[in-house]
Amino acid sequence: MSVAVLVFPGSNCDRDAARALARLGVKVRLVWHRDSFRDADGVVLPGGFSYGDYLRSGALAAHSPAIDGVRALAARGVPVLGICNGFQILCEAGLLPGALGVNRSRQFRCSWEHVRVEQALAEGAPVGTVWHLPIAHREGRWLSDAPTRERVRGDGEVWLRYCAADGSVSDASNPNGSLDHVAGLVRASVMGLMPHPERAAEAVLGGTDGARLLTAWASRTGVAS
Amino acid sequence: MAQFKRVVAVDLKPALLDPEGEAILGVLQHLGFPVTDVRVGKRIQVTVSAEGPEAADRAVAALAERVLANPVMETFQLQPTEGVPR
Repeated sequence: MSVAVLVFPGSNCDRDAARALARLGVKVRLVWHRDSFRDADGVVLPGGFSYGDYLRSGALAAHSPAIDGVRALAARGVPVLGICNGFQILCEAGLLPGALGVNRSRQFRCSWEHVRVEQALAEGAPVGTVWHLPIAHREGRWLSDAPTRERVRGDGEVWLRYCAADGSVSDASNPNGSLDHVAGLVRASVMGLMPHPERAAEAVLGGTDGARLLTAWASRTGVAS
Repeated sequence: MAQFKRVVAVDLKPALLDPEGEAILGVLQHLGFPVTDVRVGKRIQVTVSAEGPEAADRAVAALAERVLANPVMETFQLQPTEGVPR
């Protein structure tokens, strides 16, 4: 029983994610992308710059053999969490809808933002919960065509939206120009978000809302002690 | 099987904002060029093994559709291959 944190060439938040989960009592192991993780009870695709982000962010990792393994686990309902580059990979792989394009500002945005829970996925994270989490990305602007956007709304696939501290949603609290202020998506057992919960998992890092998010996610894997 | 070279052009969909193109447009206008629009795309040259030119076109279209372009935000085109050995 353990959560596998996948390591692609160019991943750089893998150990942070593993440490954050381990501190929550989750049994976790780092898995090189060529190695097997068929027995995993949860999979994390960490942040970073997989394959140098060549072609498009996450595009090459999304077509690597490891994603076949992720797809197989997701089909069985095993929880999958993509963080930042991991979210980009899941969208490129078609496991989550839409795509992540260059920020409206054209800038790499490295800042703390608020996000609001739009889909309750575990106890301790009801709809309306506001978390303060750091983002660090240049390609984080969620895009989709109109039919997909409607389907995402209708199917309740928006997990997190950027918001103000009081939970209100407006363009002013959208750091990258994402359609519908999307910060994270969920489709069945697959979840992805641009913010970095593992960078807000200890008070010394400036916040602990990331630990709350990861606790809620880990409770879905059944691996939390 | 013979080797065939093909050139694939990948562009952002026209409806989508192109921040890189927008930045280049700003610089060009600042320099006084009479530019009104800039779009940045990618040009990718691939060599495939295939039975013939038509099979090569099909193979390249398939890999372009699946990997080289993201249909959510990009379109692709096999470009004329003048000057490129068929």
